[in-house]
Amino acid sequence: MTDRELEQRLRAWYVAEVGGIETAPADLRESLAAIPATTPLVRRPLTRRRGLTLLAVAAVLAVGGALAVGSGLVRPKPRVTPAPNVAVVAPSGAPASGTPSPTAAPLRPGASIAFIRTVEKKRACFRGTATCPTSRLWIVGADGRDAHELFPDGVTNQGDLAWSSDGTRLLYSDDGSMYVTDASGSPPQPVGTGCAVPCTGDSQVAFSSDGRSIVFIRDSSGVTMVATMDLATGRVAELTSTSSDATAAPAWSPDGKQIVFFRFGEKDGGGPVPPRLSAVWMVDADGQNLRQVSPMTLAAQYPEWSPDGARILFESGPVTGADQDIYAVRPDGSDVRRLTSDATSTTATWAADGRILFTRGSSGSGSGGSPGWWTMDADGTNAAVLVPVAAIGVAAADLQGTRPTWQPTGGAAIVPPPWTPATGIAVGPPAPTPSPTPTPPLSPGFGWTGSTPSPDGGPVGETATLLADGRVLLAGGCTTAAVLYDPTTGTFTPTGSMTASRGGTTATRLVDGRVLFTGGGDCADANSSGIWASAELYDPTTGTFSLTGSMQTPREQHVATLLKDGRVLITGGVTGASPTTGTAVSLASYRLVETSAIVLKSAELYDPATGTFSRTGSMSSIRDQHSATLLQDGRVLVVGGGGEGYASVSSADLYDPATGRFTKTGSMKTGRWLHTATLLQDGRVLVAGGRSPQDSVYRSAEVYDPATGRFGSAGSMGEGRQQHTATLLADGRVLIAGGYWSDGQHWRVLSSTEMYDPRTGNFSPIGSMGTPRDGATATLLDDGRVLIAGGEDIGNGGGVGVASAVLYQP
Amino acid sequence: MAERVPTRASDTSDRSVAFVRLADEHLDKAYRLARAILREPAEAQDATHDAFVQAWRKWDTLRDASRFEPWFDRILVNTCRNRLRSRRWQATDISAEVALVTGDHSGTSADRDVIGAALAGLSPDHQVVVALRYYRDLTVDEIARRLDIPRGTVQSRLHYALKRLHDRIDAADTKGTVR
Repeated sequence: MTDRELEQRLRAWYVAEVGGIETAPADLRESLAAIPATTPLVRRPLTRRRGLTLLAVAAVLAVGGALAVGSGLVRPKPRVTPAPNVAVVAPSGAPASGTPSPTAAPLRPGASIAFIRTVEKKRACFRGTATCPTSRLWIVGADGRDAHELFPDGVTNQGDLAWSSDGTRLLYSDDGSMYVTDASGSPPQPVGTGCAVPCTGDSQVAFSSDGRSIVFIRDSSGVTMVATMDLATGRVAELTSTSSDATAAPAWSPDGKQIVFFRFGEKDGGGPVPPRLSAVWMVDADGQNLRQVSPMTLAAQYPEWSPDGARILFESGPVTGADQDIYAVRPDGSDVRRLTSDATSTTATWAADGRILFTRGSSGSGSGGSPGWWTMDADGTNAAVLVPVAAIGVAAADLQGTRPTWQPTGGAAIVPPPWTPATGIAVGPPAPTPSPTPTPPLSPGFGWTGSTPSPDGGPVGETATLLADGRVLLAGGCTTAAVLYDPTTGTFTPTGSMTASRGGTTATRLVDGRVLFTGGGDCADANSSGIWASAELYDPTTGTFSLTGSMQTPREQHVATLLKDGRVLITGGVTGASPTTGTAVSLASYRLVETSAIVLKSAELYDPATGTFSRTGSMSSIRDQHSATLLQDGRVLVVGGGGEGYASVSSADLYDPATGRFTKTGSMKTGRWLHTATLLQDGRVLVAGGRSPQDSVYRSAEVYDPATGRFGSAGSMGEGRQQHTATLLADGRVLIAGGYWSDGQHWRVLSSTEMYDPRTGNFSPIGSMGTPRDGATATLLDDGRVLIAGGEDIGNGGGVGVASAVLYQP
Repeated sequence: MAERVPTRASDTSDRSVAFVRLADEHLDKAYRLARAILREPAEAQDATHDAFVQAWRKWDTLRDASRFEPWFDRILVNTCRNRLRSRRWQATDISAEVALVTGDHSGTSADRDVIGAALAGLSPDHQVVVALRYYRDLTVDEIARRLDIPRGTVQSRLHYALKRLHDRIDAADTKGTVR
């Protein structure tokens, strides 16, 4: 299946699933008119200068609160609404099924359990009935009586419950906003945490044991991370080291020095496509010392620290085919113990008396007993039912969703609300580049040589060009930053900035030593788009970039080849529609509509003497992400590439600079794109790897002989590779490094390398370069070594730039 | 920190008329997007309604009514994403669907099952960008603006999601063909 076919199938799926729906259900439409009448407006937060006193904030809230009470907009005192069926804690008589379950001692008098109950609410929920299910915040007394909904007038979904350690406050979320109330249902106050762009939402809040701080999850710039707020000062700290696309459920250690949370594995590459497994992680409160606590194999979720700090509870996740049970682990990751074995026990929290409160379902394979809320001792013994499912008022299958939370008593008093957040500041190190699989040691011949960080922390250098003085210029990609690598010192240092970000650009060292960059996609930030027709030159003597003439056609994923006469041949690539009117056009850009992008068969020539581009002949086929190799006789061999319908092209063209024409030459045995083409010392061209028309990744290689105009077999690499590198060494061999591999069922980014020896015609493995990377650069240095830098690995959220670099000594 | 304060009756009335008019205009499109992301009709209905409730509650943050659609889309997408997240994390095994596939995936119900299951195996964030890209046909930049995330993040999420879908669907196709 090609990428294009996949896209077609996805679009067809959406058409089949959604396309036939012309209008929304009528009752949904009818309900809209009722929303303003039944939903209070939330006024836009006032912009306050940082430093306004708490007193001023309190005054505002006091006035607002008084007005709100007067208007009847605050939530009324809770009504005591008995749960259906039974409202007592301890069951009498036999349990629902099976062996009678032991009964736990009643909860401490005066304490309450907060929980979430899915109830049918009278609101237009569009199922053809007058009610629909919503998640509601409920409270049940310690003696099992007076179960009631805390805010019966609400209409939205509530969750994420957390008590303060003194039991006086209860945090909860309500449709994405956070509030604080208490067991009596006092009017909720919003909990502001200073979320402002790029923050898109805060959630999952919890108090520290000393009542002075809260911890929560911040969704910012497309990642989720742990953040904390000092309630007295409002200082918000974003623990950037915890960033991932799925960081969740933070909780403080009792001493407030550490925070536990769970998140999913960095990557699931290699092997059969596995589920994403989660684990409990821990980080110091200052963002330092991030470490994994639970083994990934248990799919751990929802950690809870014991009051004495000795153990961390968690539940095993709902991985296909696996049971859900409760475990405990020491904070240092040792002594993992399974506390339940019925396969349906989840949502474990610590009770004020040191027991563990948890939910137990009814469909377990073990000796579970009756469903309901249970307690057990910290070591897993003395499990006993506390509240039967009937008393909770939910179906047994929904018990896990109740997430009961026991109101503590006797803890430290909290800093009383309201709290005024300050602007969040990042603390701690940045999130480490995901490298979940053990990084293999460097094989002999490879050595680390610094990294290529940009000012924003990412890697620099979609292209790498050897300069005349022996340094290497790394530039291009979705940043304007550029760096120079000095082989004599092994260091990367910033140089001038490009005039624009250029993803999918080209870099060509001209005869005079300057470096030509052409086209590329503008991808610097969320507001940039389009493909550049413009080009720019880097001058090593001044360390600056400056614009030169523009191409006739905007291009990205094209190829630039230095000709023997000093001109540069530009072939193929992707372009798009004409500029969008009304859009500010800077440089020589054209704003493109992505869906109209087309692949080019045209070519252009750049003349450094005039600084201009001019059209030349056209190739026999459209091509992007192809190769164009200068032959010894001055002609250019253009091979493969992406063609019609994303099908890779097997044909090849020869470009003759003397005539400006492309002519077809022999074809490869199969279509390839994302391959490499390397001019060998004997004048032949080695074409290795790439992606097939059927989207498999090739191990095979072919060699083109200009004398015969034909391709022949060149053996096979040890692994299939696309987006790898191939570098001709001084001794005539070719170093193959990294790339991406897939067989349709498995995939991985490669750290392996191998060597092609044209004398034997064989590829042989030479070991690991340490870090998996595809789309990297590999540059032969003047001293014979090869600099391998940048590229991409695959993490949770997709491509992750690799900042490190290695040197290979042949 | 937002405060709840009373609103004047006339003020609210004017706003509510404007809100209901805009909501009505955009309802069909919103509901279809919710269906595309959540797949289940009942969930989509509830999510759409909840998103409009949220939109009304946040009405003061909409400065320009002509910007209603992208502003509301952001609320709706976040609502859908939160619902996906509240389903808890599920690792999807599509082996059952694989058995149904006969090798011809030209719009058959079995193919729809396979693709639906493969989509369900993506994380909520990835499901959202795939729906916006291949259902709404938004560009990467438009998706980035709707979600308030960088273009690069959209690209990487699409990149990852497509690879994931590729592998899962290819596996299903291959096994199905053998059968």
